Amino acid sequence: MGLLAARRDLLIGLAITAALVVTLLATDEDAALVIGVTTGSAYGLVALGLVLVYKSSGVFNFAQGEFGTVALYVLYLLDFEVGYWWAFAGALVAAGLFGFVTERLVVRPLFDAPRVTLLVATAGVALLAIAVEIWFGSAQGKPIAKAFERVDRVTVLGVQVSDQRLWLIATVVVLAVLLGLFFTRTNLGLAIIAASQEPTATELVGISVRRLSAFTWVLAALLGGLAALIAVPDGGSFGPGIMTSTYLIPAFTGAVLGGMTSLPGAFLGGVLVGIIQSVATSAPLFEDIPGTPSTLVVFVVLLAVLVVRPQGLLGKRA
Amino acid sequence: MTVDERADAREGQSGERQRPFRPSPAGWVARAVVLAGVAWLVLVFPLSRPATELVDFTTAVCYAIVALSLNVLVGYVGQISLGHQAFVGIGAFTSAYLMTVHGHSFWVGVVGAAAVGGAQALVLGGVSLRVRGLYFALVTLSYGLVAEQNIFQIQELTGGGAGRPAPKPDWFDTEWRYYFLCLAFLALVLYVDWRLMRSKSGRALLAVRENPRVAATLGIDVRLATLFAFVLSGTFAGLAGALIASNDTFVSPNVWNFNLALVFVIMTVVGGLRSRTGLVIGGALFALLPYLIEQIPGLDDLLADIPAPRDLTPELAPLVLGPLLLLLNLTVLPGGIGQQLRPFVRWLGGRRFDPRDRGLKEVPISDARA
Amino acid sequence: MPVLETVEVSIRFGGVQADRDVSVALGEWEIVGIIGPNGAGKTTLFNLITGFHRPDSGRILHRGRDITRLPVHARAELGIGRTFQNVGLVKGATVRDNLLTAQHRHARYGPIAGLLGSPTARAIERELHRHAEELADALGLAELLDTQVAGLPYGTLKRVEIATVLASEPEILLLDEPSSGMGPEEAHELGDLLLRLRREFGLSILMIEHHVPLVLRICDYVYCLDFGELVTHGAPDDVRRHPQVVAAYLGEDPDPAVLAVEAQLEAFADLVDAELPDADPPDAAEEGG
Repeated sequence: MGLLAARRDLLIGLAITAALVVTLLATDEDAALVIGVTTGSAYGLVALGLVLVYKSSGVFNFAQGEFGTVALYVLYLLDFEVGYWWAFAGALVAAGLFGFVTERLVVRPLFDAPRVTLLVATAGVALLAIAVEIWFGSAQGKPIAKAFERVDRVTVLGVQVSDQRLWLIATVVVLAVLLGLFFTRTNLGLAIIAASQEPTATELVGISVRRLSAFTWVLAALLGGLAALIAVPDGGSFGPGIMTSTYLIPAFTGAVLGGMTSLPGAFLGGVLVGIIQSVATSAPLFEDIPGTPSTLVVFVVLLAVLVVRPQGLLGKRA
Repeated sequence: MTVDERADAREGQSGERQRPFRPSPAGWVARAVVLAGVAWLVLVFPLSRPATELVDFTTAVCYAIVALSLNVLVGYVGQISLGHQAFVGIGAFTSAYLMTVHGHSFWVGVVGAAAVGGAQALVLGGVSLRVRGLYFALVTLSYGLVAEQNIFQIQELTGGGAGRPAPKPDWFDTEWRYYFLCLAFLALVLYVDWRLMRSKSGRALLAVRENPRVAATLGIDVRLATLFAFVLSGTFAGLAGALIASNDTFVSPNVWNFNLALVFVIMTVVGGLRSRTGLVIGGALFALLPYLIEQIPGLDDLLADIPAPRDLTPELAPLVLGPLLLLLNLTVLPGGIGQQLRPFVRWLGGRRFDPRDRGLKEVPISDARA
Repeated sequence: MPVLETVEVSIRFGGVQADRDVSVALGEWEIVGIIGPNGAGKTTLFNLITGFHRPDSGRILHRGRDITRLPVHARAELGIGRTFQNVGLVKGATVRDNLLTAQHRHARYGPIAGLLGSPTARAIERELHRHAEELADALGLAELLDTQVAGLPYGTLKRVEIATVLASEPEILLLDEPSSGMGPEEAHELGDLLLRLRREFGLSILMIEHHVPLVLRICDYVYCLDFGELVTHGAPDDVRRHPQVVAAYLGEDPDPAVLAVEAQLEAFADLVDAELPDADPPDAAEEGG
């Protein structure tokens, strides 16, 4: 099989993206395009964590958003005590810790349980996190500072892209590539894939499946934390459950769109959902939809993908 | 083995058929006393309480119905809905809408709400039940969000942010009478659920849940069975919504969110899947948690003493307690309250009290699709 | 016309060609055996017949009618029943529930009638219960009716599975290694049972088997598969002596000396059978390859 044929799915995905971009440019939706790509990058980053957990534990992690919200709370608290970057590091550590504890107390005991049971458990973890956030913090939002303040350095297609957003996009791209290489070229990455598909065989070869599970969840939590810490401050404030209410569903849709088994797909899917969402918000076509039009449009996209092409753009056919 | 030993061995497996157990007279009296106590708690005790408490009790009854409705999907078929609050909420608004905007009676509102609940499930299920459990859960979660952010923003339906009033029916317009009306509806739902499990549809669901391939080989249309369950679940949920609407005499669009979806799932799972007793208790418990915390002396002080930046108020406590109970339940006690209570329920029914009776064993579910 | 037939069905899973151009036919009231080493594609063939997979090419025919595109439950409606290697039952339910569930297509009342408890539904349910109890009695399972299936010993499970598939009142029975886990006595009894069932219920039986004496005794025709292809087919005795069949089971070229000894042992066994007409279980000497 030629290189072209092997990468056929990737080409289809890129072709669809290119078509979408061209359509948007042609219809003067430049702003929507740029905004869509930046929000989409955040979704892509969350989606990376979702696909990571799915590839290794076979479950949809509904707590992925809250890994990030907890990091935000820690950043907020520490920022008053130490410098911003120390606070940032501390927040990431907190996210990783949360992921580790979740893996130990929830994922481990449910190792052999049906995946749907584990899914409900992760939803429970998310709710618990939100409840504690409301309890320890308050139900109202709090302000949060950005890492990079400058907004006018770069302008793309007439839209100003802040430094914070540039940082987000750069981080996501780098991470997507690194993780892709990790799972295809490194022994550890291959081991994780093997463990998820054939845990018994993997154990027999001498690899500790349980230790891999812990590593994966910590990594996913770090990704969730990063997503929140870079993307949310751009909006200036945060509140309890913010990642779950604003990022989780679009990220999931993006992951499904990209194909739940593909890491570059997660990134691509996230960006596509960001673009679709931004178009749904601004285009006159969707004006009459009551409430938040983008929610409905994203839902329809999810249904369409599941009905027409369940393996997404880059996933493998089940 | 002697003949007697063989008989004992057989009794160990299916004792009821060999030598049926009969309680002693004292045993019967004890059972009657307990049942009388339960009847008193449910039927007599509320009569002496103030109206505001009756509203809470009625909410408990309605939540019990929601738990039963969610169990049809989660317990009998094995699919998870993380958007069930949408079905209940849309039922509530449908009833309020039919009563307020079109001047229909409460009864039309109830039937309309149930029908809309079933119709929603039919449409949503028709599209999304072809996908595996995890994806279906995601679709229901997404649908819940659409309900929250799009459907409940439809001015026509919900009166905007202000919400819609929902009056009680003519003969049941006091809190006490309405409570008994809702109890009657709960009894109806329990009856239909009981009949479901004694009919071919219920057996088909359990077969589909455990092993869809074998079920298909026995002539069961897996898609249709799952869709049927979903529609039934949606119908009950819509009914519960209508009852909740008139209980609160008002429906607001702001309460039907992801948190509520999870509360519903939690109370169903913690109550105990496939156990009617457990489900009713689970639903009632979660509805009454804030009330119970306030009633039990010293409990709210205890909660406030927990070291934390702020006090754990009775309103907040269920939100924290709920997920904890869920996680405990999923990891340690899968059968929930229902399973723990099973020995008592069997005892009440005239059987010997066997603390180790945990009901039917949990069997691993096949992931293969037919 | 064959009551069930596959016409050159092939299917591949990823890199493995599980079945290639396999054609088998089951005539009315026949008992046909399918033999072959493990991994030969026998269960896959069953999966194709019952509809779990669509073949990449070829057709499946039921009484001449093409059912290749029919969904699984629709094929069950045609009267095709099946057992599974790892026992196809609802293990979380009781024996009674399994027998009732199997009668699903005979429960001619609508779901709503069932929910409301209409007199028709209740009458039909009583009938289903009665039929379940009859079957349980016939197969010696009466005492286990209200026991949960999970946890029953393996031999009992197989009996429950047979009762269950019979409860669905099939015309055609697909049995996947019915004698697995059984010793020679039990396998002999199973053979008697199958012959009796064929007689009493007018069944046509297609069975995957490893137990050669059973196949020799009750099958009218035998197909042998290896590596997904038909190696040979014919009367049981002929198939058994086919060199490729012997090689497939023994993994080596057939030694004429071995064949000669086997033939002698068989002659002796026939002699023994003739001398003792009432079916004593065959002794170890008769156990061939």
